[in-house]
Amino acid sequence: MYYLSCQFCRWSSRDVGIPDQSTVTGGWPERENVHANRLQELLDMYKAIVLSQKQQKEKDKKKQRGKYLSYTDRTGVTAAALRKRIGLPADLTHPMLKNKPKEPEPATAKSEIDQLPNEIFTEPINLMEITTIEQRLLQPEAQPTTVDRLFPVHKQLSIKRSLRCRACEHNVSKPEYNPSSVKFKIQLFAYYHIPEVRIITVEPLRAGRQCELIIKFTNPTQHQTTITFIELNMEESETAMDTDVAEVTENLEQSSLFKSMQIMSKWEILFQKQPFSLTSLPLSTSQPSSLLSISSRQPSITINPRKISEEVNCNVEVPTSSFILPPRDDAAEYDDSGDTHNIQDDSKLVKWRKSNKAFIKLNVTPMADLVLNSEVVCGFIMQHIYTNTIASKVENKEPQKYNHKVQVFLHLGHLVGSE
Amino acid sequence: MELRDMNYNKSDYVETASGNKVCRQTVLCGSQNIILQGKVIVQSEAIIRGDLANVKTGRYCIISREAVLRPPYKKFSKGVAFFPLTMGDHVYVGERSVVNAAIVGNYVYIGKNCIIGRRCTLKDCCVIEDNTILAPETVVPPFARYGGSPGSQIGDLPECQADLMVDFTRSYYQHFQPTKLI
Repeated sequence: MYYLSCQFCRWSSRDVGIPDQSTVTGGWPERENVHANRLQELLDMYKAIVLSQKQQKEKDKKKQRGKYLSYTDRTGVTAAALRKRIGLPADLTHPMLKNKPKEPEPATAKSEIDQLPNEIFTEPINLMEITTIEQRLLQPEAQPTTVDRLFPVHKQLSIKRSLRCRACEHNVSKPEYNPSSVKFKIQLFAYYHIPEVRIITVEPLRAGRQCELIIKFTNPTQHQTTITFIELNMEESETAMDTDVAEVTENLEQSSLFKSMQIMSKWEILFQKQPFSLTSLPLSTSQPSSLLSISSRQPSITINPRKISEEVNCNVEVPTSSFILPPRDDAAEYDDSGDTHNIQDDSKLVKWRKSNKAFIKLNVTPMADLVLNSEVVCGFIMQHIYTNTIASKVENKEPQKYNHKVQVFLHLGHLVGSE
Repeated sequence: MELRDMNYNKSDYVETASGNKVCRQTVLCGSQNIILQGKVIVQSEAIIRGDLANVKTGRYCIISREAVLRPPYKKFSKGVAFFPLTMGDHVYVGERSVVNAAIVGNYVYIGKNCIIGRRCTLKDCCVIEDNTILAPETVVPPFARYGGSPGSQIGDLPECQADLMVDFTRSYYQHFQPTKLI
């Protein structure tokens, strides 16, 4: 025989008088709800209301169908009056409609309630025996006030789920069926496509004084990319975004990426990313057939980009030169040769680089009117070359390359002083 | 934010051929029963009880200061029996946490001051927040964030959690370098 027992609080199912079971899982008795009849009554009533409303709607639809003018309208002899004259009931309603849903007994207010028991004033309260609000709400039908009347609750089923792009309905995330596997069949997250930006160090921030910021860029893709900095202009980007949304949803294969970026929330603590424009290089006229079929599908929902609520209060000296990030190479971990790929770098911009990572120096100046201890936020637009391999796999041709812009906001910390 | 370099005194740590870095100020009982697969960091004052049963960790595991790895036991009608503790790859165990689990999967993050009750099963890609007490024999599903006392699910994790953990443990190992003598 089996009984349930909690190793944490030493509760067991014998405490509340649940009989032992012969099987381990299943077969545990359900508790009878004292209000079951009343609930069923209410449920039935609401179901009946839904039904009658549906029928009403259908009836209204039928009525609207009569677009043409009828003589009865002109002469003032309505259909109802006509029906009365020939001895039929006036209103032509469906017999089902006539049965108004049965109203259950309304809840009655009580004016007289039992007096509180005397013990409540005399006995000291033992908080260990009284249930918390959470515990009571987990059992809404009984809402026990004391711990000894708590019963086990059902555990909610947790499931794997796949995600689809709301615009193009492509799968962006599809896990394997095996419940213990953490691998994915489809996994299109920004983490695997957009270069990662991380703060390494920042000099103490002083208002109005230039200080050095070192950030690390990592290329997660299998393709070389070039990163260019563009100055961030908040007002401009707001308006540009509206026009770009349409562009993005038209170009559906891109919007799947766009969506995946929305799902990604990993970097949100550090900075907010915002796909802001996807300006593609001229599309070739001979699109692969499968893509054509995709583009003919109507996007179900147009997604508006998230509003950016960042206040930038720090100027970034935008470097004029751009730099190259080599592709990611998993074997590079075991390579100690320190190969720099013979990339000619602007030594003022690139401080150090290793495999697919580069350490970049930026000069930032917190605004002069900032008060001490306020949080400093800087921003810039990172433009990187995104290589789309999905389309090129369909038809063996050169992968398409896009210049993709991402707004990056960095919280640099608090202001320590002024100039 | 990138991790800062963590420097240690070279004479305090033993580095094995497979890249394990084990502090000399640790208590490793029954060392013949402890298997560290490589690139594992065991920091000072950690306790691994290999004398009770086998303890096996995967690659890139980080056992922080004062953490305890203790194989779980089960009571039978005739006394108790200890079961081996297996840990997957890329697991982080925070400071002062006590791990009594039977199985810890891959890419698991256990915060500070946690108690993982005996014979718990932590599946792949889960996070146990700081100061969590997991009741004995709890099963933590993948991509779940557990917290509180008793530990219960308080959130979900992104689907790329595995890659985030790989990145975290790898960069931890890379930044854990001996102090350079000048």
